Amino acid sequence: MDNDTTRILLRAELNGSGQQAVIAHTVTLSARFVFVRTTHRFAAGERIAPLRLSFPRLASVETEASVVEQRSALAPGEDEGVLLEFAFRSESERAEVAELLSRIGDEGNRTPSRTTPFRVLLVEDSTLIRDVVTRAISRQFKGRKQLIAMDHANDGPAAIQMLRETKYDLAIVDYILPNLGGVSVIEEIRRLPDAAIPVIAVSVGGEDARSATLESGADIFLDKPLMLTDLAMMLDRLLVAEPIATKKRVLLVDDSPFILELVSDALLDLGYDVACVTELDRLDEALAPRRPDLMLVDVQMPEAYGDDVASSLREDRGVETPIYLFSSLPDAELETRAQASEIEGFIPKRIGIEAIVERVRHILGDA
Amino acid sequence: MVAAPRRKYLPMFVGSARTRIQRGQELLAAENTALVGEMHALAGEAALLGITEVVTQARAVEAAAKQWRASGAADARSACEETLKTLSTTVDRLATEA
Repeated sequence: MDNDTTRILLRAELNGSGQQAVIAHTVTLSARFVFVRTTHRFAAGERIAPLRLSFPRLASVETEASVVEQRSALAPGEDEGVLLEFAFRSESERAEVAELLSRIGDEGNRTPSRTTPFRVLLVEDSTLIRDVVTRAISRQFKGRKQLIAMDHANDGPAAIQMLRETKYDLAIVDYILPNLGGVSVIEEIRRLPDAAIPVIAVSVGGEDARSATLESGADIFLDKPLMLTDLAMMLDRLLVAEPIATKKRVLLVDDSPFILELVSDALLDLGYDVACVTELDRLDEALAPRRPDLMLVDVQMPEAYGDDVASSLREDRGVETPIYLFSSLPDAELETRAQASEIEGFIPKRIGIEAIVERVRHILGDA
Repeated sequence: MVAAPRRKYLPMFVGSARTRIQRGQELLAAENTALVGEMHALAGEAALLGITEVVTQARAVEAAAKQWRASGAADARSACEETLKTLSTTVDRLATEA
């Protein structure tokens, strides 16, 4: 790994060839490499596509990577996982990862600008652990201007009640809790009006607890015994992580790599989040992380007609995202197909990239 | 990006177009009318960049291929071959700009 590695905590979602999606978290990141903590096994050279990295309140980035090596934990406290080298598909992807790195990596040294207390809810039934964590956090803030307000919940139902009544900046949730487990608490948090509240899951439960809590929506998982330095680092970075507006997401479905690159570059330049699908069997994967705000679907694809795909998405899977056919077929035919499949409309490719981008902006209310 | 997409993306377009034309020639040699789909896709790619000459010519091959698919006639096949040649020449010329 190169020398500019930063120890940071990020949520990572990765798909290796033939593997189910693995949700884990990273502990180190550099401009070239990322180390992801996981007990899942990958082969050297294996392609990871996609690799999605996210940090609470900040936009996530999606790219690809290849496996450099699998690492085992040789001693207590060492991390087991997989070292990946980024395989950026475009310069814009490289820039997005660099931006995420700079946003998070440097922020431990920045001074938070907020004037209100940073509210933390600790959901933990062990009084000993509660005391340890509370003392660690108090020590972290000792002598600082930033005030911190700590609340405690002994079990899941109490936590849910408190989260409904108070706006928290962070929830730290134990995996095993009386009455309602940590996974259910996290799932409930993600259904709250402020569903984006950062959540750190903690447990002695190892990989099972890590997978379950991250899959239920936790941002980070910390093993017990807690590395209090990791907790302190998260607090520092959460305090200064300025929320950024969530980018509108456009999903492009087309079997032409050229068209996907041209259109996605144009939309990325305008600040949109873009996902591309060339093979229909990867469509579910592209829809999973975050429902797009708009879908453009080519009509004549090798596996199926785009209007049939659109109908199926709308009727069988309940996808409510506006869907537009995107094709070089004649307008009259596109209109007929769009109407028959009961989708929002069509954008003809013949109008050229500039006009296409304008149509997209108009549809998304940005024109 | 939108200001000068043609210049930036022309090399990639030419690469894609050549692949499609070569595949089209192979399909034609194999008497396979899937050539229609290749030309339709090429017309779409050219349209995005505003390369109208290629759009028109790819459409001409597509129309000839549809005619050939419907009739199976030798002259329809020859028309495919001729229009495909014209298209290939145009893309070769574009390659010099790329």
